[in-house]
Amino acid sequence: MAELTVTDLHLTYGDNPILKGVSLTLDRGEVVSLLGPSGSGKTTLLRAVAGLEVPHQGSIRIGDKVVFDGAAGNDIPAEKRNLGLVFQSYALWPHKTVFDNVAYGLKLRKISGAEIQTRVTKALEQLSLGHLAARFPHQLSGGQQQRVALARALVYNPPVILLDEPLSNLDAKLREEARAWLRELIVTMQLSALCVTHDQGEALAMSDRILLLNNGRIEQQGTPEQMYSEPGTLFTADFMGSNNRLNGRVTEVGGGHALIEGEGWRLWGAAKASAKAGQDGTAMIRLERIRLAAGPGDNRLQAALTTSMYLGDKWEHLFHLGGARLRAYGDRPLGRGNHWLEVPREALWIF
Amino acid sequence: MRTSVVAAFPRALTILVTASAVLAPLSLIFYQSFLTAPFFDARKTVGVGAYEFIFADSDFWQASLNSLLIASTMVIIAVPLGGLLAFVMERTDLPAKRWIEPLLLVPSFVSPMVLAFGFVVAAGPVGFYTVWATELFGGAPWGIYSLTAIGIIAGLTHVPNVYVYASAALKSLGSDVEEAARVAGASPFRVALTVSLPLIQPALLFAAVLVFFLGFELFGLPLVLGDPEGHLVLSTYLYKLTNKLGTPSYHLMAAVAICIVAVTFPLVLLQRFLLQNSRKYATIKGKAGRMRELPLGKWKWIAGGLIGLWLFVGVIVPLSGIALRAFVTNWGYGAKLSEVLTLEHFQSIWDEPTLVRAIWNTILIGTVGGAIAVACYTAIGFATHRRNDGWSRFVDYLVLVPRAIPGLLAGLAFLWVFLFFPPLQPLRTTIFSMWLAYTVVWLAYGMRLISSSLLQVSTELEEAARTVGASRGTISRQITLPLIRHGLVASWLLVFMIFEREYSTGVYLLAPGTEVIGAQLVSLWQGGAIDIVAALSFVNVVLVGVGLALALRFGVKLRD
Repeated sequence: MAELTVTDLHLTYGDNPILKGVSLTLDRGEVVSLLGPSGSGKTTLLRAVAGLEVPHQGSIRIGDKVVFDGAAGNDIPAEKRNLGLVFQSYALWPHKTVFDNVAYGLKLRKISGAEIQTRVTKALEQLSLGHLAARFPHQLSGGQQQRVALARALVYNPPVILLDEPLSNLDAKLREEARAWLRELIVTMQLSALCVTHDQGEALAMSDRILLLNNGRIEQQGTPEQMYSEPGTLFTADFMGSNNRLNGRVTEVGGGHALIEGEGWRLWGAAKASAKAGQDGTAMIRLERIRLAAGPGDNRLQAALTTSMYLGDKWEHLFHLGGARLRAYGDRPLGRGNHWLEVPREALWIF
Repeated sequence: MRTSVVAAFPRALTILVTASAVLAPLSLIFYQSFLTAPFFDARKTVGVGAYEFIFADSDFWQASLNSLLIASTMVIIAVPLGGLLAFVMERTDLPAKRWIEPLLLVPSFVSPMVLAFGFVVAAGPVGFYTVWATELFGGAPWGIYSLTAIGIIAGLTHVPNVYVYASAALKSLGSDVEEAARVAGASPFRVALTVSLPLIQPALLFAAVLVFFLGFELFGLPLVLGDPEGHLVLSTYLYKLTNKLGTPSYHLMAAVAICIVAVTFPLVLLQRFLLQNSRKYATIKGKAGRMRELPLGKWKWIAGGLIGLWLFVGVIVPLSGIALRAFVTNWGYGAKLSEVLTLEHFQSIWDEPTLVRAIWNTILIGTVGGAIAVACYTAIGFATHRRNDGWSRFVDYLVLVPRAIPGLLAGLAFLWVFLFFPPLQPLRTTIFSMWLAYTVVWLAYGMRLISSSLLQVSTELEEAARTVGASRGTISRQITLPLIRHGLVASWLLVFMIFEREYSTGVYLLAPGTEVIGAQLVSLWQGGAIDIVAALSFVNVVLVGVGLALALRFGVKLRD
């Protein structure tokens, strides 16, 4: 059953359209990520769901309750929507202790003092914050502040929890740990979460489903695997993962395959909807799918090595091919000069 | 890196000049207060006789008590009204806010002397509004000469001081902490009570101390309004000491001055402490972003009505009083407005060379003097900019000192400086003496304007110049100064308005050659020349109005 349903949402700031008809559903126990570059409208969409921005068209339903309906002029204020929101800045109230920050939502719901005590204590214990209850926010580390913000959003059991770039204020190392911890917490507590992020790695790791936003519209949505390995458009393919890109002319299309040719190379690949014979096209392949080969062969090309970088677990080689640059991983350093690269047909997408 | 003697010279000179301009007058007051006669009197001896005299005077104690009462009344009135006003202006959907905002700041730009006089001619026993109310309803249920009335009027005219700080604090308060409370289930009103207002509490506390402090500095309002019933406050007690004894009793005045500074200086230090504290509090703010305005609904009319009422009482009543009084021959019961209209008061100003000179000097001191003052403030600003050494801290405290000395005392102190140091005596009857006193009195204000401009220059821009090989002085001249030029022009406009408005500093420095409108008003008021005072006040308001119009036209922020 859908905990959250957004239908054809439009939102403008002045003359500047931010959302241009976005629809989504969030089922119980599901984590959905809103992914996109900055300016794509993902944070605005989250804030519209929270009731902090007013769309001018479309509708938002939480469970079976309509909280916004542009046509009916229905707009339930943020405080009546009963959602949990974790802010990017955490937005902890600096004049309240950790305990009071978490207890505030319960106090507003007129819960008795004794029960507030037990519920807040339980929430803090769950997030291993029990010993920090009496501290003020500025006495906490970034990771601890993030967990307090989460406890504050969870304590009154909202049907949906909204997370606005929850990990972006953490250090790189801490971020990976927090990502695993957050995913585990959401799954064990069976929360329904809508999460905004601009980091594709974070979205892939955290979510059951990803919605990729581009310029106020949903570009593509699907499971992390689908988004990564079956991109429908060039934008999606480009946004997810690290890629090699070659521009050329599509010379043949048929049977789901296409042939693309450039200066000194011709490659077969999987044809995407936008590939048309006789037109310019773009070939794209993930960095990890391109392989070093010993010599010429099917779907191979020759390129000059520019430099190599040691990444710890592997090497990354940079090649030049005409005006284009190609990157490939290898397990050992390479000598100077030209090398052959194999581009597997099924891994090359032609747009 | 050791700076060479040549490179350090401008800075050392700036600090030296500032220190002498600030400390010489204060030391002189201090020294004078421990003499038994004026310092130029050959019979003077060192002693505490002056203090014994004023401490034995019951008027002194009554004046102190009155100052305390008025200052407290002001806090009680100005802080809640200012805080509420800030909340309504910053966080609600009150219509026409853009138009109301500059009006709110008007009382802080009009000379208190003019405002006080405006209240007398508008709401005094035979004021315009009193007469109209009596003719319409058979009576006017107000009086403006009691101690309470003075406190209330002073409180109402100091609402902008609180408003400025409260609204700045609300602005810098990230809306995310408020949104977090909304999402957690709090209504907008609840958000204001449990999150917004507690978070700006440090700013409100600061504003309360500020208003209390300004209450002790008050001069124009109690001078004009306290006179009819004989209410004295500390500053007017000081002012009337001469009349009381008939001889120049400088030692007594100095003793009272030191008593006033003994109250105001700790208050200034407390303000500094609170301000730093409130900044510390503000560092844990969230991301400032757009905030959905709180819909007022039908409360719109009540909020708008209250603001309108306050504007009417605090701004429209006194200013319309001045404007009317300047154009009528006389006013009282039975007078008909259409029959008494005249321009003759302006004609008499025109015919009186001292008054023409006063207007001319006032314009000069605001424009040219204001520009030179801003240049001085900038020099001091550069002497401390991005330097965290002992001298910077010394200058930081140095600029606070004049803040604690009310204009009236500062003027007196400068008069003594000019009498005491023979080389300076020829300058005493030139406008320079007035300009120097103005510049020192408004040092703290000017420095705040300059340093807020300087702070907007990002460190990297200066560091980048440094890495390509520019010296400190070169960076100041070629990088920082061009970057803050708009800020300097804005500061000039604000200093212009402040100098036009100033009145108490000039009271003791007034002499043939140094006439300015503000001090002239005090002197004329004492002489009872109501018509001239009205016309001259009108001219003063027009001058300030020109500055205000220019500032609004060029988008100068009227507050920091």
